[in-house]
Amino acid sequence: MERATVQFDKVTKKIGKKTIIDEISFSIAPGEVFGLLGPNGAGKTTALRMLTGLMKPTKGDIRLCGYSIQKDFEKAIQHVGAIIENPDLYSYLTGYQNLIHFARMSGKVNKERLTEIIALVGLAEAINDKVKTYSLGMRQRLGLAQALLHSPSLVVLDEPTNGLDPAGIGELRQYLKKIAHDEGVTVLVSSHLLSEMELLCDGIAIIQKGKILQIQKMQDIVKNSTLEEHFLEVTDR
Amino acid sequence: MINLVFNEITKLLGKRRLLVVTLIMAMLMAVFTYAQAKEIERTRERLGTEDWRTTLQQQIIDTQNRLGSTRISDEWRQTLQIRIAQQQYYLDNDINPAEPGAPTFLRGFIENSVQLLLPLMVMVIAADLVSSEKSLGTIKLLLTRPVKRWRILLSKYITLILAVSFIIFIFGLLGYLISGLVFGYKGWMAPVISGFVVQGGELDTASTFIIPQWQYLLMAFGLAWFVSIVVGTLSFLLSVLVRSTAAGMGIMLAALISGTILSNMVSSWEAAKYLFMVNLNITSYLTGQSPPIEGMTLGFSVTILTIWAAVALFLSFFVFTRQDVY
Repeated sequence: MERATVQFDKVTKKIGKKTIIDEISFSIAPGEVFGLLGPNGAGKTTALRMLTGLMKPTKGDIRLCGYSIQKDFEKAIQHVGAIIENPDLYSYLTGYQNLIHFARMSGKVNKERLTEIIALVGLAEAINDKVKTYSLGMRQRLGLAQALLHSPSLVVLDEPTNGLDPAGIGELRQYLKKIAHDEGVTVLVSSHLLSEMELLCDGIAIIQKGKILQIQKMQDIVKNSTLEEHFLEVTDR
Repeated sequence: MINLVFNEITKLLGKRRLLVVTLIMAMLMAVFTYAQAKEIERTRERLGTEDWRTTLQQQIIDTQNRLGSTRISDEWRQTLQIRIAQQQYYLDNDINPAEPGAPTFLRGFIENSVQLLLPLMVMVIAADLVSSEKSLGTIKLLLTRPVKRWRILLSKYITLILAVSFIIFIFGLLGYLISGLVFGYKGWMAPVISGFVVQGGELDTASTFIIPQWQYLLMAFGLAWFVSIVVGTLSFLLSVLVRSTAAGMGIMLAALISGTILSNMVSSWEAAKYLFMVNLNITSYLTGQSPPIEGMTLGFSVTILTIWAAVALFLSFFVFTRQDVY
């Protein structure tokens, strides 16, 4: 079997006495679009924060492309492009300065790649404006650009469709599916927009109160119901 | 690492903080130059002479008259007595303590800025180096790159040192250019007496020496740079610990202001000399004023400030590399 791109191994996170994440384990294969579903406060964002090294798990280990995020941080994280929560960027710099900033940190990005990615997210006209003049949708696109800049093998998106208009959502979905299925990039998305996840994901994990309730292939779910019905049924138990 | 520092400088310039600091300093310089020019003009009118010896003699007499008043605190009396002794010493050696010119203005200005003005300017830069990334949320993007956290913090600290050096340089340059318009640009070689020692409320002139003003200024600016780095490092720590820039600035501001107040009233609380903010007025050791607390020397203050800065720097790195980011 191929080595999993993402592997959570009995990961627990406690903040104070409260258990936010309770022994979750799952893995995602290369080229899969995987959705993390759950109601607000289920622990989705905390899981993604641990995945990107922003928080340390209290117990357990997370591996990215085989490297432990805690022991081999630099090797593990270089394969990752992420937007956690909001696409927060330096509002007092221009879009281009923002991208250059992150390109410098990743190393292997050249001018052509920058131009390519700017065209891809459709910001070519506004890229030299200050980010504070951008609309939420434009910020979301710029956030996406910085996540995809260094051609990562894992893209982590927390609520990626926030602030995008329907056309933008459609484009994003097409693009994510394309890089996943054609280029073998793994995509991990968290959301509570079920209809969108149904169209986008190959597999999902349903998470509630820090525990994983179910991991399933999308095609198995939608065979005899919609994702929404299934989700409500599972989280209601 | 150079790339990281370059990033930090881009952000610093993007925020326009350095520009604001430069403008504030330029405005203050202009105000103080004007005030000093007025003062000189008034003295000249009053005494009807331009001879500095007469002026200095008159200052000594004025101060002696104030000493005759009974409603004067012991500490203030001591300060005044030392001042008289110093002025007399200048007079005896036939050296003008205030040779007119931009360098002399600069000397007075740096001596008066080292305790509050310069630390404030540095604080404006340092207090949000890290906390602004947290409040903007950009720290999440910054820390999810293949760069270890200590390297990111180090790049920020190097940027801070560069910014502090720039502020001190601009401070000197602006002060020279602006005050020179009024006082003229000469006076680098004017002699200055340094090495006064204040012991038990008495002025000891045994170890004094005369140096050209440029050399004195170099020492004063060196000390001001050192103080600014220390204040910058402490603000940097607050910036790591506190999420909001305003809170960090508030804490530092309170500490700095309490330092100027404490310096004037702690002579009987001896342990206060280990507080960093009481040690900031470090150029006073060059001019030979009585220290806030008996027994404080230049070496002592430098040591105390170094220890504070070293601990703050260690804590910054310790916390930053370990903390969970929300």
